[in-house]
Amino acid sequence: MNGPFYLGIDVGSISANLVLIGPDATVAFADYRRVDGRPLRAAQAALAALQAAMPQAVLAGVGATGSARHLVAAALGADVVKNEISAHACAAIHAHPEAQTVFEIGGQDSKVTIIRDRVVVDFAMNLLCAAGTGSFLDAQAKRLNITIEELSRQAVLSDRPTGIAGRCTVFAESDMIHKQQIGHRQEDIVMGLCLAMARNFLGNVCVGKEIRPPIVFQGGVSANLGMRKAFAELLKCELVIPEHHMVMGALGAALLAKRAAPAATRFRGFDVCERAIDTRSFTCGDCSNECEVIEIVDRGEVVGRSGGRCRKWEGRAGPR
Amino acid sequence: MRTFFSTLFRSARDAGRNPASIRRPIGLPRALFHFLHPGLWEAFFSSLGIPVVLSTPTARATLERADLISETEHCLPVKLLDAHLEELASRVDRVLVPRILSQRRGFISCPKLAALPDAVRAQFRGHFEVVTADLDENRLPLARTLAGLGKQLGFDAAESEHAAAAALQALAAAEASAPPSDAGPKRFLLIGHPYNLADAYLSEPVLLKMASLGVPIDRLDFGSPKSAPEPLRWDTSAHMLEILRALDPARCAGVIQLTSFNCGCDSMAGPYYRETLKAAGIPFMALTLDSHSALAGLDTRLEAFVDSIEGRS
Repeated sequence: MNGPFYLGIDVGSISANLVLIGPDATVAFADYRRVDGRPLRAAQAALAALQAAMPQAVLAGVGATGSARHLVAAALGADVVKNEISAHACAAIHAHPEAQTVFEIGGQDSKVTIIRDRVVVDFAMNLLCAAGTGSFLDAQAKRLNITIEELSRQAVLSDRPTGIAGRCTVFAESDMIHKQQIGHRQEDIVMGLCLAMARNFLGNVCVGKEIRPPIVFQGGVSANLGMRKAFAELLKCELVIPEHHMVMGALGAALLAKRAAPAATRFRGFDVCERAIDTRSFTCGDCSNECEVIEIVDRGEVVGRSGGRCRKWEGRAGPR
Repeated sequence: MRTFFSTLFRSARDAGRNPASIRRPIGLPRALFHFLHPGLWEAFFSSLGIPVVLSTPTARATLERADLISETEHCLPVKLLDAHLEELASRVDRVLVPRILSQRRGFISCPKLAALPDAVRAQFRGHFEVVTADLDENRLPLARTLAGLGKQLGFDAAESEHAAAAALQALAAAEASAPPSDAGPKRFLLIGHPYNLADAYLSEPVLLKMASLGVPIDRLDFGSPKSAPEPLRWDTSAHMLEILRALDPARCAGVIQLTSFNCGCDSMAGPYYRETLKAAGIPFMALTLDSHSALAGLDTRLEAFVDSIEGRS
C-alpha cells in the first residue's frame, strides 16, 4: 500500500494500541500490547513493531488518545490529541455508520456512547469503580489460574450460568469463591461472572440512556466471548463487533489525524522508539496547592509537561 | 457556700458582659454554610465588633486532611468543613456553626445541615466552643434569628438588630447579580450547590478546562428560589431547577452540573434537571466530585461533552 499514512496510538491503563491507516482509511497495520505499568515503553515498542513491519512507511500525521495521550503525544510528537470517548466514537461511526450505540469496555474504563445520525449525542463513563471492566476479568482469570482467553472460551461452554452478585468487585469475588466451594462448575461461574458484569454495565453506566441497536461493542473486553454472549442475552439482540474491535481507539485517533491533515507532521521520527525517554516530577510551589507536575525528558531536554490544577504547565516544553 | 457560687456565677456573667470578652474573635470555616449566606456572617460579626477569623481557602492539603479526619460516608463538602474547622481549632476558642433548617420560606435545607452543630461539638469537643443558632425561615425570618444570636452573644437589642440589618444588606448585595448578556456565542452554564460552585478549589478545574477548550462558561450566580415550591423543596436544588426552566436554548450551549458523590438532594433532583433540559433541547452532563477525583477523568468528560455539542451544531 502506498502512503501517505496516518498513525493512531491509544495508550490506556492496560493496553497500548497502534493503527496505521492509508489514504483511503483502510488499516495497513495494527498492534495491540499490554502496557504493564509502563505506558511510554509500550508506545515505543508498538512503534518499533510498526517500523519493523513497514520500514518504508512515511507518516503524514499522528493522533494520540487514551489516558496517557498527553504523555505519548509529547514523547512521540502528535498532531491531534483527542479524548478516548470521541476517538472511539469516530472509529465506530467510520466502521459502522448505522451505529446507534457504542459499548466500549477497556481495562479500567467502561463507556456507553449514544450516536444519532453519525453524531455523538450523549455518553456516560463508569464512576469511581472498576467493577465491570477488563481489570476485574483479568484478576479473576489469574485467581482461577487460567488465561483471559481460556476464561473467554470456558464461559461460552456454560449452559447453566451461576448467579453472581455483580454490584461490587469485592463482593462478586467472594460470591464466586462461595459458589466454587459449594461445587458450581468453573464454566458456569465464569459465565455467571460475565452476566453479572454485563448487568452491572447496563444498570450503572447505561442508566437513563436510550440504548438502541445497532450496538457496536469494542475495547479489550469485546474480545471476550462470554461478555458478547452475556450482552446478547440481556439485550435480546446481537452486538456488532467491528473488525478491529481491539484497537478502535487507535483507529479513531488515526482517522482524526487524517481528517486534520496537518501540513507538516509533528511526529518526531521512528528513532524515538530507541531513545531512553524518561519522566520526572517536581512540586510546583507557585501556590498553596503544591501540585505535582510531570516532565517528559528526552536526551536531557524537557519535551513536554503535564499536571497542575491551573493548567499552566500543560504541554509546556523547554526550561522551566 | 451559696455566696461563693453566686459570686462565681456573677463573675462568669460579668466576664460574659465584659466588652473585651464578648468581642473575642470567632472562627468562620470557609466551607459549606459559609457559601450558603455569602457575606452575611462577616458583616454580622464586624458590626458587633467581633473579629472574624476565616480558615484559609480549600487547597490540596485541605482535601487530604478532610479525607483523613472526616467520616468516610460524608459528602465532600461536609468532609471539607471538618478540615476547615480543624484548622480553626488552633486559632480561635469559638467557632460559628449555624443549624440551617431552611434558607427560604416554603423550602427546606439539606438535612445534613440540620445536624452540623451537634456533629461538630461531638467531633471537636474541648477544642472550641460552638456558637450556633437555628436558621429556619419557616419559623422565624433571618433578621430576627440574627438579632437573637446577637443577644445570645451578650449584646443589647439595638446592637443586635443593627448587626442583623448590616448582615442582611451584605447578603442582598451578594445575591444581586448582573443580567446575562445577550450578545456573543452560546454559553455553557455550570450549576451546583453554592458550596461546590463558590469553593474555587472544586469548581475552577472545570472553568479552567472549558477556558482551555475555548468555550465560554458561566458559573450559576448565588441566589434562592423565587417562586412557590417546585416539586423540589430543597432550597438550593429548587433554585437550580428554577434557573434551568428559564434557560433559553438559543443562548445556552449546555449545562454541566457539579455534584458531590453521595449527595442525596442531587440524586433526587438530577432527573428533574435532566428532563427539563431534554425538553428544552439543551445538552446536560453531571460531573461528580469526590476526594479521589482526578483531573484526567474530568478532562476526558469535558472534552467529549464539548466535542459532541460541536458535532451536533
